Amino acid sequence: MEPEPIDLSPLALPAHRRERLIGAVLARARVGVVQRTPLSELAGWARPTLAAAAVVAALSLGLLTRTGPAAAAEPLPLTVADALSIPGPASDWVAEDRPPTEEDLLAQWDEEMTDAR
Amino acid sequence: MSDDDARLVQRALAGHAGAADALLRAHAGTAYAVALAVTRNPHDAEDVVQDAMVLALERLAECRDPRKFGGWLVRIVRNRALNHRRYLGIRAAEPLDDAGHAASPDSPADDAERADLRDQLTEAMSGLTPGQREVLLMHDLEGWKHREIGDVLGMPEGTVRYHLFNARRAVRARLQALVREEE
Repeated sequence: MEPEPIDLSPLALPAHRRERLIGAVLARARVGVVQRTPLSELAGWARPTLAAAAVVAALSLGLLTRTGPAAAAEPLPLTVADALSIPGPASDWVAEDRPPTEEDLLAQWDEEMTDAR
Repeated sequence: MSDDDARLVQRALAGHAGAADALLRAHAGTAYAVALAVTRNPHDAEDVVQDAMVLALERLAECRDPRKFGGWLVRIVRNRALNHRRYLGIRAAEPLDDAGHAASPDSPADDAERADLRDQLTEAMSGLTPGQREVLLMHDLEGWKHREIGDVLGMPEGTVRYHLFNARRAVRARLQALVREEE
């Protein structure tokens, strides 16, 4: 149920101006002066290539978003002691370059017993 | 038509001036209609079409499918018209200039009547979107088919029909309102 076409002919380019326009174009243009080159061929492919790259980027982002939180759940060890799971007090003694005292050993033993309960 | 275009493109590239002339003549109307739809100004539309046609002829070897020369030219015209409109900004938003076709060889009475009709159509189309104007002019002035318009303007055929439907309805309603105002 399209409405009837509208007569738009008054808006058309009048014949005498069309002739002038075509004459001006033919006077200015050097037909085919720009030849097809490998560079222009590549330029023609730029748009689809960029579109494909955008799709790949979007898919990659989706994958990263999905796998990101799982990887981030386990924080990376910060020190060699953390990596070797050496208990905190022992790594302190190493860092302070001293042997543990009897008080240190008793305190550590007491702490572990408390944790075991 | 498309096979004719392909033959004319080949001949134009081979140096036949008549072929280039025929190509321009076949597509000048559509090129102007598209430029007018975007720029809304006859002077600007002619400038845009002239520049676009020069560019198209010089880059004719880059036309990948010579059978679709018309669509290729329209895309060049459209891009240049959009750039022109962006460049001119405020000026392009002004209504169509009725001095554009003043120097016609027709009689003064014909000129006046034609100018009056043109003004009414211009006023009636002023409320349309650029897309609606392009579709309406390409279809109702230049006789392009929905599918061809969709291919060139990058929109589905259904969208072309939708734009055309709304554009015709809006223009007709505005024209009727203008007639009532005159009475």
